[in-house]
Amino acid sequence: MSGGQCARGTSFTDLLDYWIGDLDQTGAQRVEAHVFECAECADHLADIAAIAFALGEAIRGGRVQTVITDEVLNRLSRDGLRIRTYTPKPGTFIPCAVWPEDDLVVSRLRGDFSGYDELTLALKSDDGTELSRSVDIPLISGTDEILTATSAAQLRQLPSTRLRLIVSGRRGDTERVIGEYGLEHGGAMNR
Amino acid sequence: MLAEAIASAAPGAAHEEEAELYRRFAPRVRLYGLKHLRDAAAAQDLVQQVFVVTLQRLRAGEVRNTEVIASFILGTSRTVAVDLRRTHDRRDRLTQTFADRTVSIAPAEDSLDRARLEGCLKLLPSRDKALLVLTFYAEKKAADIASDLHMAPGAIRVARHRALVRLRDCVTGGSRR
Repeated sequence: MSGGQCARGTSFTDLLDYWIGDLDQTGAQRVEAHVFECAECADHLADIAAIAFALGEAIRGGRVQTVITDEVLNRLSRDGLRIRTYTPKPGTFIPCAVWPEDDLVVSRLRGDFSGYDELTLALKSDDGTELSRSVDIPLISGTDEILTATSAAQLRQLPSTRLRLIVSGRRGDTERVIGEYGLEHGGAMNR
Repeated sequence: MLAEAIASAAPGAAHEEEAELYRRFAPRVRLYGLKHLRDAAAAQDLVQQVFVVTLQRLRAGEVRNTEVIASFILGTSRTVAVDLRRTHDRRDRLTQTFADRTVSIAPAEDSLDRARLEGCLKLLPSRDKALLVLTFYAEKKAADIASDLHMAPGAIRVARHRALVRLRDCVTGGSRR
């Protein structure tokens, strides 16, 4: 899958487009006929199908930390995930906790994120220890909100602590903090 | 030629050729089924039915051009898939009507090493991960993602393919290139 095309010249990008339904009917039938003739492309398509399946399982299981959209959030909810959402305000701390039945914790980070070349989200504990860092965050929910989903199972392992979500970005040569959002993490709760 | 060997042998005598034909094409028929029927059990039904038809027709000498057996199998897959879709739709309607809660066991889906995949997802750049989530989970078209990100659809197609390759190479340790 690393090269661009098979020995007969079919683009592997076309195989992915075919699998996810991004080709018109003529294009899809052309790729389909080729896959039945070409063992190399059949293997690549099997790889794509396996990854698509495993990725779907991981996401539905609430085990992927990623930025998401409201559309994805709604779909996760329809798929039966129990989601807890927090909307911390910049420069303040809000209480938060993870309950045994939670699958996913979503933070809505609001601010003006427009005009930055590269956005970074760092999760730090109050003593400054960096717990995670996501670089080059795409603004898939518009320029004034970042939705970040974290596995509740992962958060349950954290002790009670103050957490800071820090969004920074680069303009030209200058890196600056755009927003710092505080969570007063109460740890794993029991009812 | 496998198909020619099967067609010219006494009916059912070309065991090895029939097995090889199955080994070669069953995975492709199954992928066709997964794509069009979106159900692993239905895809497995498709494989069985397509090969019953294909082998019966070959043994009976009813496949006119054995050199294009791939095309014959694809055509059969398309025809059988239409019938299967009707059957499954009818079954779904009956299940909804009569609330049949019979539990069925479907064949396990081919799956990658789950822990490894999740470890590799953590290593992916945020942009790659978001693209894969939007593509494979939210089932968004390249044009829609492009519109959200103010990028050209062509650039999204290339970027999501690169993201997929990075993830695949990480999961397999680069052994499937």
